[in-house]
Amino acid sequence: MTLHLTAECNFRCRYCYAAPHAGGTMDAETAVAAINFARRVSAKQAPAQSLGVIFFGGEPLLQPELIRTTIRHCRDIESRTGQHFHFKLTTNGSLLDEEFLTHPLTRDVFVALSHDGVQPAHDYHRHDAAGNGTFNRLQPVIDRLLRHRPHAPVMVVTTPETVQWYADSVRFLFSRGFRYLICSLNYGCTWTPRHLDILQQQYAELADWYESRTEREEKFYFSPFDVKIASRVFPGSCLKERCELGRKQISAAPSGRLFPCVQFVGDGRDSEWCIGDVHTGFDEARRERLFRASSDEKQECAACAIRDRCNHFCGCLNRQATGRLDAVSPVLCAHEKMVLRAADRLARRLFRKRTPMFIQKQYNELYPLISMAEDHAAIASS
Amino acid sequence: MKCRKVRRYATPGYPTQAYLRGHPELLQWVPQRWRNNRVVLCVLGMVLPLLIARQAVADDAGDINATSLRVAPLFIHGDGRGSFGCVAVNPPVFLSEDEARQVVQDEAMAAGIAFEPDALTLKEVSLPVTDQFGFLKKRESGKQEDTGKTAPKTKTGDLVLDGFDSARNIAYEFVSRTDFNAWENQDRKMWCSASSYDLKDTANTLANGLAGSKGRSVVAIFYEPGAKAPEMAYPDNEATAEDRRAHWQQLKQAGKELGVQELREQVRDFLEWLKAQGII
Repeated sequence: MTLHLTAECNFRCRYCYAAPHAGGTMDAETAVAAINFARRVSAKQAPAQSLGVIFFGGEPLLQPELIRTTIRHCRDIESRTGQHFHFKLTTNGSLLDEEFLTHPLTRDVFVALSHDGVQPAHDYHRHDAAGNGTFNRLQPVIDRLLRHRPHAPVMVVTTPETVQWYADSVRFLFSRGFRYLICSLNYGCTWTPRHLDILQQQYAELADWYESRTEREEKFYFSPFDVKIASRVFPGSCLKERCELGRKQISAAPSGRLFPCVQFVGDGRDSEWCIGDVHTGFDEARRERLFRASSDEKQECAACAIRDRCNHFCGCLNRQATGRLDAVSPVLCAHEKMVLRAADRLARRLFRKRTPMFIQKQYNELYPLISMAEDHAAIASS
Repeated sequence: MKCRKVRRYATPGYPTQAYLRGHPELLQWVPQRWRNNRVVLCVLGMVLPLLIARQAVADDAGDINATSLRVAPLFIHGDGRGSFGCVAVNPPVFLSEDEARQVVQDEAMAAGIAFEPDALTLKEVSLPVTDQFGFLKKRESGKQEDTGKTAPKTKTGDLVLDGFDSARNIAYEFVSRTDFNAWENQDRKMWCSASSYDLKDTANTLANGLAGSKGRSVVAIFYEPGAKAPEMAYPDNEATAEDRRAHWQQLKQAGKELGVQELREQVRDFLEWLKAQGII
């Protein structure tokens, strides 16, 4: 359950799909109702699983008290019923302080930072309300975040205007200490063949970087390559983990209306994508209709040789780029082919060399456990 | 810019996880930094033998459940829909299971695939729950009007696939009207003299349900195209009953030919997909 705590934001990022608007701020009663609703759904669909709650916005840290109230409510449920919760927050970082990172209620919140990398790339889109780039003010925030959350992921968005700095940005964020690099394209932009050529060169650079870092036995996750390699090593994983629009993840707008994904919330008034309300429950017919529209086989993709390893099922990306759930963006199509080829070539090289970190990361199902043991040992010894 | 399908994609030069079954020693390639770390060595000491033993056991047993089924995409030829009763203006002409089997086998044989009927059973898989009176439903809440319950969309059960080539490990299921009726939601109190079928949607649900199920085969899901007879001039008012019967037979035959052609296209697309994947 993603809670859109507020429609307000102190940044004015140019590509933001949830840009500040008149959607208002969620009240505590709605947040509590959303959690109770999510718990009821979860009890039916996945009773034994921990329930994930994501704090989203706008900028969610504009509402720290609401976050604490929500977590308090969840902990109360936990102590009464045994239902476990885990929490995530996606932030622009500007309000991320020591108190949030260390407070007993919020110190276990998994924090993801939105950051676009080197200064020219970051400052091109990520402005504050006065229109100034925000790169410099985030430098101490990165130190603070990684000091308390060494496994915090960074979310990078690349657009045609910033694609020339893509590889530099990834290397920069890695050098700053991030080890979970979640990188995506903004498919809503106009990508020309020239931009895609640049992107291809960037991936070639990134493949070299990935190879050398892996050979140096560094642990990291670079989503574009790692997702594609996993789709080869574990056939069918790409299809199994697809979003299932409106089923696995639900977004609650500040008003309490429910939407199938964060990108559909907007100002919370768009009835076309609304699938219910936290107080009255799902509109099952709508929910099912959206899921169907998103999951139906795409004619243009059905006979494609890489269909099972491709992200063309993602209804949010399709809507972002084409305005329709069931129409695949040509840019996404071109990108998927490009990144798949780059990832497969890279993985072939690393496998042939039997690069130990590659072998363990991709083929050992217990890699996360072993890696965690190593990290804990490092923390204990320091 | 347009979406362009990839016709052929070479098998990547690194293996799937199934490779571990024959080569469990692969996991002994351990980073140096782990070798120098007592805690990690301790964890590795515990888990590596287990992992390797598990792979070996899976291999010894020829464990058919060790990996996921690979389900081909649904190849769309025909809308798969039709109605009977008062709601029907132009009822579909459905193919029988035998007619469909003949079409699939003819096409597959030409590509060197020999399907044996009903030779593979998938145990405990997700099957669609169909609803031929679905047009009567439902409240906004998604609950059935008659029982007040939310209609289930899937159920768990066994599926005997219509054809299986054990040499190539390729199987198919044709979602027919018979299947649709067999998967019908039994929990209802309301019936109607009209009924409707959405075989394409049913096939889609089946394909989604099978994706990720245990097994090692490649499975195609074909569906009844639900072809409608083309428009033909009706017999005039003075036509005899015999004329009308002949007219209906003509319509039925034309509809069936169209259905056969659409199913044939589904199978041809599947064969093309198998080639593109390097499976045949």
